[in-house]
Amino acid sequence: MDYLIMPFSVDDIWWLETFIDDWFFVIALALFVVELLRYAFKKQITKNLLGDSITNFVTLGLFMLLVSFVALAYIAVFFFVYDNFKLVELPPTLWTIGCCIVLADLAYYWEHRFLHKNGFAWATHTVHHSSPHFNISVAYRHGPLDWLFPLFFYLPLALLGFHPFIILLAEVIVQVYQTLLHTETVKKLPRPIEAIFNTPSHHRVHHARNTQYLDKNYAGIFIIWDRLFGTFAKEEEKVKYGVYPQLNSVNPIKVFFSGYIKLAQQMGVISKWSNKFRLLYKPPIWAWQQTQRKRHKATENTKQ
Amino acid sequence: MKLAGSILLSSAIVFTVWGVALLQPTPARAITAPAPPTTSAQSKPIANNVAVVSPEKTNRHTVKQFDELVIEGNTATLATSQVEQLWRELSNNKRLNQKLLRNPTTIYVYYRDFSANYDSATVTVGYATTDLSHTKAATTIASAKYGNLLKKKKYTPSQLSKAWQEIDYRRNLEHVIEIHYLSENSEVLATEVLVNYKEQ
Repeated sequence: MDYLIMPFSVDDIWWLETFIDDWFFVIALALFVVELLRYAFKKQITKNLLGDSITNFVTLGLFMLLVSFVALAYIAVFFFVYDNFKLVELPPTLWTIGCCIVLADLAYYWEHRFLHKNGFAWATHTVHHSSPHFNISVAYRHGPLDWLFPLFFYLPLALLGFHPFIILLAEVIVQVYQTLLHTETVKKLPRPIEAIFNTPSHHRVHHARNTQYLDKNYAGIFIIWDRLFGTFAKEEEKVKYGVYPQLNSVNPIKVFFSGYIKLAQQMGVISKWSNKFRLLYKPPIWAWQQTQRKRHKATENTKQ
Repeated sequence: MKLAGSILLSSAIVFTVWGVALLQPTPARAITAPAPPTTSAQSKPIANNVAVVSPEKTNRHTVKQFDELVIEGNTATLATSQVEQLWRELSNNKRLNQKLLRNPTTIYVYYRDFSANYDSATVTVGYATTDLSHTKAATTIASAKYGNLLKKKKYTPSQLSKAWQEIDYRRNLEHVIEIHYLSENSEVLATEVLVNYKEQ
């Protein structure tokens, strides 16, 4: 048990965080090659799949470019809160890191749920969901503001006394775990694992556009959050990936900004300012319902 | 579950996990290392300040034979006001802490090679090598007669700081040893401060 309370230096934690971040990308690329070979073997490789995969990595590049401008400020906010407002100071031990991962995973669940339930946040997250395919490269398909929203959900951890580097490490571990879930190669894992952990099967459901799967399985590492909070759905019917309406583009720039362009277009169409504002905070389904209502009204008027 | 219920349950989970994080048995050698003695340069008289301590006062310290002891820890030559930094380094010294056979019962702070005005010294903060599975780069505290500046007792940081003013800086100060005695939970139970001078 001693190893659980053996202190790390914060430098060690920072090193571990960057090590995982850098090397996992290499591992993910290797796994992606394996997936491509599988698709080739099953004769499922298409031009669209290849184009979509390249687009995914280009959006990652664009995202990283934006992150390079804000990364220091992002970390500084954590340090500011930690240095000035922390309630206690938790030692940098494995015990602390373990607790932080659990809490970071819970924070991820709520952040993810928020991304699906808020129009402005969905406009960035929709990019990730807009691929009609499902493989490791989709995990790297990012929207322009994907870096912003985690801040608000992970920041309370600094207040609770977790060192910012421990929070960043936990954040990276949750992300890395999530990345591995983006695959069709793994079908179902043993039942105890499927019961506790998020798995490729659970995450395929999350990426589905089938009605019964919409807004389900937000979890990062532990699927128990979805089971507890009533947002769980089991993979039964074959999953159809993507968003409504389908984006049908492999142009990386168009894909990267698709969410906010669509949001701006929706705002442009709506005449009432209060409704324009509602588009920013209401769930994306609200915009769709408005469009449907408008269409319905127009049809009624034509009939008359 | 409704959104409000989910948020409430999440709050309960957060406080439970946070509680688990708070309840961890804190290692002696880590974050709860005893508060470093407040040996600020300001609180210490400089060498030329002969008026501070009278010879009589110094002489009242009982003399104690200190047997040779080997310690291993973090060493640096620094301002005595910055010894806190060495405590932090000891807390974060993973390689050393992994060698601990048990929770240490004592932590030694060994000052030597003082600068001319006693502002800085070479300082080692560490454990007796008997507490370690193996040693490397150890520091030997030579056997000598030491004046007992502070008897083994629980002191406040200001009392510890004051003890440094009891040192007779007119004599050639050679070594100061602070011995911090720890409980099972790594809290400081008592501290002892020993001092010896170069015989002229």
